[in-house]
Amino acid sequence: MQDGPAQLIIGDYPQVTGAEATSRIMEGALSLTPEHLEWLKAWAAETHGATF
Amino acid sequence: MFGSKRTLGRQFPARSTLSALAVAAGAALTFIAASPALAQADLDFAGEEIELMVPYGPGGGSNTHNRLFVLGLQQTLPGQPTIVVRNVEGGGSITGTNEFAARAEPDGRAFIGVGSSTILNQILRDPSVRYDLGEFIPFLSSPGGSIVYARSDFAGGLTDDPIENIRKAIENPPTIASQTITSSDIGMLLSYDLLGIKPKVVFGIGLGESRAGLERGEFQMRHDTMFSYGDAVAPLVEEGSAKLLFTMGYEENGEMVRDPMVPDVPHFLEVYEAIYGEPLSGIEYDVWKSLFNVRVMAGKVLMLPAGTPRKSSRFTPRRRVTRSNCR
Repeated sequence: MQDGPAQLIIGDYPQVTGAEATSRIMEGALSLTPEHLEWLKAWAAETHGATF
Repeated sequence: MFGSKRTLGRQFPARSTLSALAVAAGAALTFIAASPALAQADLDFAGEEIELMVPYGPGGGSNTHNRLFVLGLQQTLPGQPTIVVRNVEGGGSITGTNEFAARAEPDGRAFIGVGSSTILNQILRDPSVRYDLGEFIPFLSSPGGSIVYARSDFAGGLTDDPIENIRKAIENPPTIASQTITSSDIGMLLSYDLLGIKPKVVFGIGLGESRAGLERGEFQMRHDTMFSYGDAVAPLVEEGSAKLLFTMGYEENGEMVRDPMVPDVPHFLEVYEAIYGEPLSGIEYDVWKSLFNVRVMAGKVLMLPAGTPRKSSRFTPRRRVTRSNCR
């Protein structure tokens, strides 16, 4: 495999491995609370007329 | 200096692809080796099949990403098992992920490659979602940044100063393209709004079409992933037809830093503070940060099913493995 094509897929970003580090990332990604979601829905409706 | 040749002409340095793959494979092996069935088999995967669920179609970036790591896993795992990639697309990745949650056994023979949309479906409470990613066991995350740029002739002509250019975008709302509000674009659209840019958004436009639309002048500003930067964005900047405005940034050791692929370009939080004189805070920051995590830091994640043992040291072969005893 050539490095060039792989660069297009993973870029310059360090690959995060292991349970602790990846779990922290997933916790951050799943951190939207019900209060945040309500705020986001209100924002989407007000600024883009979108509902979800 | 923003817009220097160092950034614009940067050829992304060749990192060691094989070493990256080996790290990924090693991370996977830590978990797979801890599974009851395979531990008893002395970690010889010869003749074994391990299934990688890809809840996307065979043509997209998530599929390509997953297949890149398949090569490393196949070459590194003892006995060189066959990794079978199964694409189950539909519902914006919900169909395949639901199936994985319902059927994948926590025996080390199944894992899934999810993307931002899989996470968004859950956190935006899509009623079709039957999975809980918080219960899956992640073992590799591939971050991926995003960049915002605009036509150089926009708003009477842009300069080399991104803050000045953003002020022009605030005063002259651009027309932009987006896929849907519930796609990973939502973090970008929120970023624009928080900065005070109120674009006219044309929804239902895919990435390729929006790139072409910008070049034709139908759109004046757009965002893209950094994986597309070298091919789709850098040439426009180098020929002078586009200017880079900001990136979403990148988180390193808990600190927001500039995107490592374009370190001369300011990130969103920097730009916000430069324009408003104070950092973004409150619920606006909390929501933005959540969406940043989804789009950038958890752009692509490989995960094992819920219940897969986390550490072999906690593994007892004849003990039933549950979430309470494996964490």
